[in-house]
Amino acid sequence: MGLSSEEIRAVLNQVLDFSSAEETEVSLLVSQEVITRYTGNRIHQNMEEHSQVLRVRVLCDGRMGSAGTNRLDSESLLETLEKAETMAELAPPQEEPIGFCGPEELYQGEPGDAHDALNSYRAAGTIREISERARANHMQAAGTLALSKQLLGIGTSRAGAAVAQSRANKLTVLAENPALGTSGWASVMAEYPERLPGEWAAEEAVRRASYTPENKELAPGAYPVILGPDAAADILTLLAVSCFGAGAYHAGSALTSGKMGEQLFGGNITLKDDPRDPRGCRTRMDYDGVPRQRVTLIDQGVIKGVVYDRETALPLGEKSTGHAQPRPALYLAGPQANHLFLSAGEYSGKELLEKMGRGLYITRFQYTSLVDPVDLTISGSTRDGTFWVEDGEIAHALPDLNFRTSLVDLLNHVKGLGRDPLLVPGDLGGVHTPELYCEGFRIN
Amino acid sequence: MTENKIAGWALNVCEMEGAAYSDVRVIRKQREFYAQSSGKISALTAEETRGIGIRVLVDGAWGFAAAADLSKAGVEETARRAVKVGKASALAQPRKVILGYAPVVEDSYETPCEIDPFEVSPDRKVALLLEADQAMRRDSRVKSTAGTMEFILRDKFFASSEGSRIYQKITESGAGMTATAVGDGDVQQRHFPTNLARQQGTGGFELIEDLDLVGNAPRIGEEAVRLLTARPCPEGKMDVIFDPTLLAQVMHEIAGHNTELDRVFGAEIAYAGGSFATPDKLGAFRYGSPDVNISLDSTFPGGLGTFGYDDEGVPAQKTDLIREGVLVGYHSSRETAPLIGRDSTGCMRADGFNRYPIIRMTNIFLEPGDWPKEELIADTQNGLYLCVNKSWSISQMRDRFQYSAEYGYEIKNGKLGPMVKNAAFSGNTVDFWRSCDGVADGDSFEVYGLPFCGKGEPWQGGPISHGCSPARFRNLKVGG
Repeated sequence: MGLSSEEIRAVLNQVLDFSSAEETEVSLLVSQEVITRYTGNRIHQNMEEHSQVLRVRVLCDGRMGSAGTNRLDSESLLETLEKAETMAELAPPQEEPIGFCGPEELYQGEPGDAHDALNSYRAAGTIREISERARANHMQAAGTLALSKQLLGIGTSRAGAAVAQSRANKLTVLAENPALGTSGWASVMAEYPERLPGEWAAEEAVRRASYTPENKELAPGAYPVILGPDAAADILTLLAVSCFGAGAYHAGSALTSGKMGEQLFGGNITLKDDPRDPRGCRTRMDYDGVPRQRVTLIDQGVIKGVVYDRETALPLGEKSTGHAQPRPALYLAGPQANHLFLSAGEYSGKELLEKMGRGLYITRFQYTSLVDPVDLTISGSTRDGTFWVEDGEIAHALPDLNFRTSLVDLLNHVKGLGRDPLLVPGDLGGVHTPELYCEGFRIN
Repeated sequence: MTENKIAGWALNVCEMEGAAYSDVRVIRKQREFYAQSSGKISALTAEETRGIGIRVLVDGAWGFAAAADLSKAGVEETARRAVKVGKASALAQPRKVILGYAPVVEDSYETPCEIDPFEVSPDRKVALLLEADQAMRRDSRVKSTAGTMEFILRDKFFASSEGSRIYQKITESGAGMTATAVGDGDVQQRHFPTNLARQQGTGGFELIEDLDLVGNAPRIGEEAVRLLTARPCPEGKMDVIFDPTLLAQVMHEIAGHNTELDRVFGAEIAYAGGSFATPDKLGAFRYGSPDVNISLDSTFPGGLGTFGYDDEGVPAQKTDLIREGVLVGYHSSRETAPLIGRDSTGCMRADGFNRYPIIRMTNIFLEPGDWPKEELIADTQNGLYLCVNKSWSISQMRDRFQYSAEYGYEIKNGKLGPMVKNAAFSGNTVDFWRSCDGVADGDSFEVYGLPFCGKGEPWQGGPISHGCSPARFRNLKVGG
């Protein structure tokens, strides 16, 4: 890691000292990543990056401007501050500027424990073991091992500086079985790299690629389905993005708009965003400097909350829940829920299959896309382990299927949830979800 | 030149540490970004980053490291890390990488730019976005609007251990806007000019003036409102003419990505998927009808994928991908091209100093046919004219697709009829391109730039343009 938390504080304080603006906010994100990609049992891309991004926002007479740099010498800091002030001078005044994080709002905790160095040799060793496992089964392995750690510092002229660390480690394994023309998949995420179960993921991907396929076409229509954790995580992420950010909710364009307290989903659906849960990859502070809070989004099917940043909360008299994104956003502006936890159920994987009896098992989706925000119709296809279930057991692999189905409909027909949730890769903290058995999954 | 000196420090260390090949990119990126959300300025920012990316080939395996530190000690440390990463890669590298040909070049290149966007006052840019917002919101059913404007300057210096030294200065400008209408139990959006985030190209502020955001804004707001009560799109198999605002995205997903040679060889298989367009099909496989001619051209003036040299120092070029319906070429690199016995088509790009270059589309074009657009519509008895991509889902091997369009019109007896909404269509990639029986002529040819096509891990946004005229596809499955 390039800078310690104390060095980050020093840079933040230097910018705040330099600034003559009415209000100033400075963020500094320092990160280190090792990302190793492999295909055909060989590494084809391997990289290590040390980066730092500093952004300044200033408020002068109700006018806001911002600027950024990755250079931290005094001259660059001053230049960046001046650019932000110039932009602010040219901005239209805001009617009621909310200003930046105050002392009562700023994260007050410790930065977090010290980081170990990331190790590209250890990463390559893990990939070699996975590849050997695939090769021993006459398969080809592909995927990514991404190790990352970050220190985020936020300072404001009203509140001083705070620093918080986070880390996220992800492993994906795709096993391709040329003999059968099938593929299998497993993905895992963990806050600490040593907790990534590489051996399990390799074994699971190989197992899923080992089912004999039957190339029979399924008639379009609605089918019972068990969604594996990756497939479930995909739809939960779409649900969170489209329905549980305060921006869309208060603009009236979200399915949940004006429906707080209403039952929109089945009684067995409870979804939370919890950046503090140690089962996920924790992040302590958002990009406003506010401590990240747990928010219950859906409680037994009832809409219970949406996530806020300061910008969406304060004008409405609400409190930020600590879900601010980096600004400016490349896309998906506004607060986002990205540490999702779906409450588990009571069934083992085997029991879920037995309960469904006959239907589909879907490991993973490809290119899910929101078609209709009114009933959350999504389209996409399945991949890397789509199975036909007969008599409560996986009978054979199926070719990939196209689907077009309503999430509202699907989440009102959940017939059972697994009891062994997994943390699978997601945007920030990952998605912690069990398998989901639903009825009415529409393939086309 | 300072960059040359910096690159020299890195190349020396790479060689001393045992790299057989190394290349270095020293990049300064300047960016301005403006955004409005329902009349409030949500972004008004100026950024500048600088750094170095070092790629090495050691023991037949790739290593890459990047850092912002451009001091001699910092650059040398980053170079040592790149070699260390390469040596780690060699642990799982049963087949050694062999690099194909690239000319050794000393050159410079600059994209044309009539009006330097960084010299245009930010308040003029903000005023344009806010005037467009007002003009979109004349009807109270337009509940929210958004607008963005982006300007990027990339100063790029490339140096390789083979001796190339290339300086490039690439300027991009772009803008776009969206109106969201809510009412009658429905939510509908209209994007301008497409939903590809913005209309962006290489060039200066003249591109923003040509877009005429304020002049188009009332129409975009009105169309979003009209969609609330528009009739649902009919379902069934029918003939469809695609407007360039939609066909650009279709080409992107089921012709462009399919012909990226790294994807074909499995580099993206675990992430965004592979491609059915494998090299055994090259030169023989009928990908589309004889009306389908698709090429890449990184020399096209004003295109967002226009440059002088790619990030391996390979010159920009024009190459056929599909000629008279037959698969004839790929987007390729120095590593992948030799695997099919060819030279690189110059498509390696990274979206920053800190990203590993990967194969990207550049500017891809469906070449114009000989139908005047009006005659193509007049020749269609019953069907649809569909505009602007709304959603898309592509199968793992890109052999099947599902799309929906933002809006469209029925075609009845050769004439455009009422507006329709929620038009979804799906099909098989090859059947789709083979069903193309008419491409409009160059008079209706339009080029749209997508500022960030996502690919790779870590995610990289690639700037790409797509050009086409309206084209007709027979007997397409429309509806759920």
